[in-house]
Amino acid sequence: MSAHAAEAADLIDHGHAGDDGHGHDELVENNYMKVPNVKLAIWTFLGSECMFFGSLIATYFFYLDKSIGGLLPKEVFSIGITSISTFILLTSSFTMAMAVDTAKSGLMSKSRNWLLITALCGATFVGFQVYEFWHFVHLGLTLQTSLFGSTFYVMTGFHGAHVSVGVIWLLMVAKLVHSGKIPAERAVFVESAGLYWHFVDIVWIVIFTFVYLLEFAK
Amino acid sequence: MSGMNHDPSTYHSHKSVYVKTAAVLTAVTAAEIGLLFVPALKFAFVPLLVIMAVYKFAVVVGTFMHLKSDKNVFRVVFVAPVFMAIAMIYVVGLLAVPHFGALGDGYVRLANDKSHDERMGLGEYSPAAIAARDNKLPHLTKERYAKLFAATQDFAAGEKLWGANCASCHRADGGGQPGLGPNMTDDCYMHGGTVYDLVNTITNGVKGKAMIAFKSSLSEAEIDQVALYVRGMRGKNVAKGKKCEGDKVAAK
Ligand code: HEC
Repeated sequence: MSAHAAEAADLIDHGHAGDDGHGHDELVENNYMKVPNVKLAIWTFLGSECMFFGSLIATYFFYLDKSIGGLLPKEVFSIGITSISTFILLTSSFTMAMAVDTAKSGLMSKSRNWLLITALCGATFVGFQVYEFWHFVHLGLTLQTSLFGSTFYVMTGFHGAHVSVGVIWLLMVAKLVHSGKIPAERAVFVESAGLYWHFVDIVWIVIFTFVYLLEFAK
Repeated sequence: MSGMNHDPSTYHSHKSVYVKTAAVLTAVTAAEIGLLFVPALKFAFVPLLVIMAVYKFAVVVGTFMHLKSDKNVFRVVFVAPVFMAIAMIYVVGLLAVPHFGALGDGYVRLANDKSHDERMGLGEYSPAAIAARDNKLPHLTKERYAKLFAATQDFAAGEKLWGANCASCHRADGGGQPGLGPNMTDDCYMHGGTVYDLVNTITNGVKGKAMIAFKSSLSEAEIDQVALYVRGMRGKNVAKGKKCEGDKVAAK
């Protein structure tokens, strides 16, 4: 049985409320599902986010090659720059996993540091995207230019907004970890932020491969 | 320790797994990008990229997000929408890409009742229609501009605009600059000499030449004024003007 399963079993087996000795309320458990409500909420939310990004990506492909003017994807995309920001976001998924791991091990100040590194990577990614948009607009591709412009900016813009929200979320969690409001017993709050963060990363995995790389593979 | 709270003393770190996972993800991403530089594999680009992206997706979700070893209910609420999203992207998106998806040309036919090639050659997608959309046409007819020119006495507004926007290339007196703008005071034009043609040239510029389009920096009224002024310069034949470029038109 993996450490994880053991931990999960521990979470399930003692389903009653009680004092955890830290003066915090017992985490609310979903008595029917036997899982922490906050985690179930996040996973359900991420499920709906799949549909959200799915529709944006579908719309992008639906209108791909149907622009009748303006710059084409190949004329604006820069594989070099986007690759760098992709690697940065990928790295942030690792640092996020480490933040959760250290939180669960009770190493809260390490966890806070990993959270801050993750937020920094995320902010850097957003910086790259701001530069990319600025550069594209200078080349002459705006939201109004063409079907490509509209669908591209809406899709990647919403992703960038998600990363930005994630950065704020991570900073808030880091602050709570720092001040002791999230102790090891409540690592599930770090884990929940992590789930959202990893999700934002996988959306980028899809966009990077299917929107950027496939364009050059054609 | 009780209830839903996590107990750090029973937790075993996954650090080594995460380090390995990060290394694998980085390697696969590098392979994806590197693939583009191996033209010999071009035939397999699409399937290879799809496989690698799906693999990365699965690794992040399975290991970093623990879905592999977590409770079933999480898999249900997440994986089901993932498949719904994939189905949506496939049906709505990829199938409708012309010449790529199975529905692509069908969509085009449905939308236009014409084949893809016909659509590209005709109607709103014809080169002429696209050019018309790209190039703004003068808003008055040839005849209206001719009448306007005949009735115009006052070129002051046009002269001002000329000095501010055009003199740098065409010279203040319109004689033209070597290597830059042509002479406006002779009877020669490459792009037509009626006011209508001038408005057209000034509005849309000359693609590939230094003559830029002024449709975004000057208003329609300003373009009309400067065009009338330019038309008024014809035949003045200022000293040291550039020699004739283009076709000679009737003087005056
Ligand atoms: C950056 C330099 C530059 C500026 C500024 C410029 N032009 Fe030109 N213009 C050119 C050049 C070069 C050509 C010749 C294009 C060609 O070779 O077809 C040209 C051509 C023209 C023509 C067509 C002449 C013909 O032979 O048919 C007109 C009319 C004209 N310019 C008017 C203007 C007016 C009016 C302005 C100011 C609002 C202006 N230009 C500003 C460089 C300039």
